[in-house]
Amino acid sequence: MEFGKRAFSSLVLALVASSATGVYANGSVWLPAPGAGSLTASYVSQSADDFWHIVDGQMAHTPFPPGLEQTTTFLSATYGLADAWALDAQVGVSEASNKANPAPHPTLDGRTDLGVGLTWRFRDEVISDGPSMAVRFGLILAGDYETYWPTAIGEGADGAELSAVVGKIFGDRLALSAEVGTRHRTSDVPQETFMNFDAHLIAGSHLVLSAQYHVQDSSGDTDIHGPGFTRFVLPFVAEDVNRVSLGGTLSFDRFNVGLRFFDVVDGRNTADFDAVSGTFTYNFGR
Amino acid sequence: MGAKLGSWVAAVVVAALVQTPVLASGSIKAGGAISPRDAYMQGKALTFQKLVCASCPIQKGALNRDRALSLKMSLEARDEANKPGTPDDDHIERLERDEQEVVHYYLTRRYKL
Repeated sequence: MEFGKRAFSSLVLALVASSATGVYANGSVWLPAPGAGSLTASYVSQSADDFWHIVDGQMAHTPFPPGLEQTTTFLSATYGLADAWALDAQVGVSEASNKANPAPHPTLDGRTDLGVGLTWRFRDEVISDGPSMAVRFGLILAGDYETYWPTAIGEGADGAELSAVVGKIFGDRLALSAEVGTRHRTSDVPQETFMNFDAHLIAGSHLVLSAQYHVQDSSGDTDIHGPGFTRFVLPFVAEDVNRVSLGGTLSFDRFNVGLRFFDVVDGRNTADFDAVSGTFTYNFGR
Repeated sequence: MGAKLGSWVAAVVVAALVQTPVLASGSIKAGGAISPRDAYMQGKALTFQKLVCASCPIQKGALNRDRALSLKMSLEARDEANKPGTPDDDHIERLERDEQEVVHYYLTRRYKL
């Protein structure tokens, strides 16, 4: 049986070429096809000149004269186990330093935390009415780096996270999704609640434009420059972040490239980062 | 210029002395896009729009591996003289020529045929 093999292949290729699969470190209801997945290399450069901390008993946004800059190269992967199940993983190497020279804090680098996740989509918008819905369970294994410095590349703690995701594609043109989750880590790192609100506009056969509003809310009560503060409690401060990002993904056959800009718009015990990321994705098995 | 540089150095030194800390606290992650137009998703959408739905020849819940195999065989024999001889030979006629191939792809992937 030679049923349209050539035509079939060309159509699939055309559709693959028009897709825009990307990396998702967080939850998504749009999962890879069974047996298919993606490998993504991404580079993130972020810098900050201001931060939120306690001044005169109040949370304030003030300059941070030494400045901060951090670069990270991530390798991430997704894999479709079945129609409604998918795995994801992400790890990287990072370096953080002051912008000022001489720098008051050490330049630190190391392997980032390793994140692995399992997503189960329990409701599919294609099969049933209403949006798709999924839950994601993730494990966090602490990376290899020094903590207790402002230039630490993470909190240095293992953990787990659980989130629920809802999403729907409207008219094959606009996709909206929302994720809410909680992240628990060992030692005294505060529990975090996070939310991601994503919008994707399929702007053309090869282009998807994306926007995200990210909220992280920490349950802790330790503040930078609050009572009892020293640098040795840095991993345990209550860090809240409100961040927006805008970007786009271009797809070329089995490869995608993406560019994204980030801006922290509000926070607590966190740096006012601006960031840019570039991604290169290889889609396999489809 | 000298005064400006001096005040900048002073600011750095003061910052170092008081350990003014701000967390790098983990890199921002790169974020991602979606793939609503990939072949698998398109094939799935067409399957449940034209073949498996309330007004379709196959009712929801009736699509299993055996039925998917039957549909696949009918799709593959659509232009052949010898067909499987099942009702699905007619059912697949609801698909346009350019739609049948992503449906074939979806069924093959979904049910590991």
